[in-house]
Amino acid sequence: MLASNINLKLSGPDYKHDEPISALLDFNNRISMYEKRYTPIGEIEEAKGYSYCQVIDVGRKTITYNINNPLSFQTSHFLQSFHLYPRQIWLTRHGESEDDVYGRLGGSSGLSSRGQRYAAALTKFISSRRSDWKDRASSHDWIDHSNSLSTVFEIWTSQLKKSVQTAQYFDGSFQQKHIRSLDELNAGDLDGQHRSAIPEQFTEWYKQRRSDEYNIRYPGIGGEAYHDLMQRLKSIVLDVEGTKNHVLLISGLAAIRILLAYFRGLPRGEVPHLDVPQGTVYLVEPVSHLFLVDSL
Amino acid sequence: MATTSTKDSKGISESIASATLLENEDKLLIVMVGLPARGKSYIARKVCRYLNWLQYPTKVFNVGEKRRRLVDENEDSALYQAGVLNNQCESSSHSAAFFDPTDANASQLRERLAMDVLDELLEYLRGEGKVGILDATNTTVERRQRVVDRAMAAQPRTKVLFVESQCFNQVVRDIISEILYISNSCRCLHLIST
Repeated sequence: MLASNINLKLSGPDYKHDEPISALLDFNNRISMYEKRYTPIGEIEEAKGYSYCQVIDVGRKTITYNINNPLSFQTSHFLQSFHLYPRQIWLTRHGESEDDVYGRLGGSSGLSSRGQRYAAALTKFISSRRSDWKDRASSHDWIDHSNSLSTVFEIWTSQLKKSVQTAQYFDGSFQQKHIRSLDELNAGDLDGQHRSAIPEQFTEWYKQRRSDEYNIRYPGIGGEAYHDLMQRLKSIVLDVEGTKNHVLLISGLAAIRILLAYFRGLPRGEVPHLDVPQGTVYLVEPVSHLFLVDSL
Repeated sequence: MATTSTKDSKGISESIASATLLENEDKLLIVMVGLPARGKSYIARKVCRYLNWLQYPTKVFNVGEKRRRLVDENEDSALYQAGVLNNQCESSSHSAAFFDPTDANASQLRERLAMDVLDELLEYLRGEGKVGILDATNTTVERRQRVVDRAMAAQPRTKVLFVESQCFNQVVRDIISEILYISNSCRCLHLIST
């Protein structure tokens, strides 16, 4: 019944010195030892008023009981979002924008001609990777009993012109969404300012921000810190985990840094300094822990 | 979300997005439950990564790893010395006999290991830790009660959340076995690279 599962655990650290056959027998015994005294969570825990989250087939069905504090709520909410169906998650920054060319922070311009070329190259690259995946999926043996593997490919961009334009050459076989919460870090009063002028014009703020780039907000209405952006991207993470479709995420530098920090488990301090060049595509496969970086 | 706002002398509004979201919140103990090879560790690690990303310091405490570490380091000698394993108990601490619920010595040892790991976790929660995840089978009502009792004795305000993983679907089981295989291979790679 569980044979394939067990075969793999036998290559694990408990059995590295043992013969496969005896190890298999032993591991089977071990599971039956546990089964003898296994009582799933249920009425007994409920009678005591304990909180629980029962996850059946990893995301297919969840039962929650008496979730009564914010941390447990966040946890159970997350447990309901993810699944184990293999698919690919791609991330990239938008192509070079006119504002980038002039060294302006933020802004609402469209792509430069270089950015346009990136948009075209990205379309070609992702389209070919999508067909690679289809070949790979159909050659995998576990596909035989799984009809539910997705072939749908979604593209989620921010609502800023430069991100939307980066996805403009994808044809109708890709499903596109433009999502507000994927928008780049809001630079408040500094939006549209020349990057080089900021340290002089906003001396106090600049000094303070350098001391804690994750938590210091851009000044002015709507100005955000990395921390705020992370809060905003929480819904994106839950949605990406939740969908069984493949997803390509296109946004600005800070947003991609924060998303990569989630997928890679990076500590907060590294996030504002993470090297994420334009023209680079990141691939995450959640189940296999595969992580690839490609420069176009 | 907690925020603080001040105005500096130049009248520029400064804001700090507070990193300590739930400063006064109680700590959380997550107790994994489930048979071996049901994806407990995968779920525990994934939840850990998510909560850390949300800026809640979180750590997984894995009983199986502790057991293997003890065996690898001491070839069971510490366990013999502790009088928990004796010569009648011919099991090494990862053969099936070790998991036999009717073997009093072995079950005493398993219990001790689990409680030791739980104590490490509770120590972490006393310090910087916000969430501790106890990654063990915890398949009996008695064990789960002991975990709660011990956590309450250490800090009565600690919240406890049980997370049980059950798998009935064959595809999900197959995928979990792939994950087990990959994570074991990764462990080897990690050893080679360090």
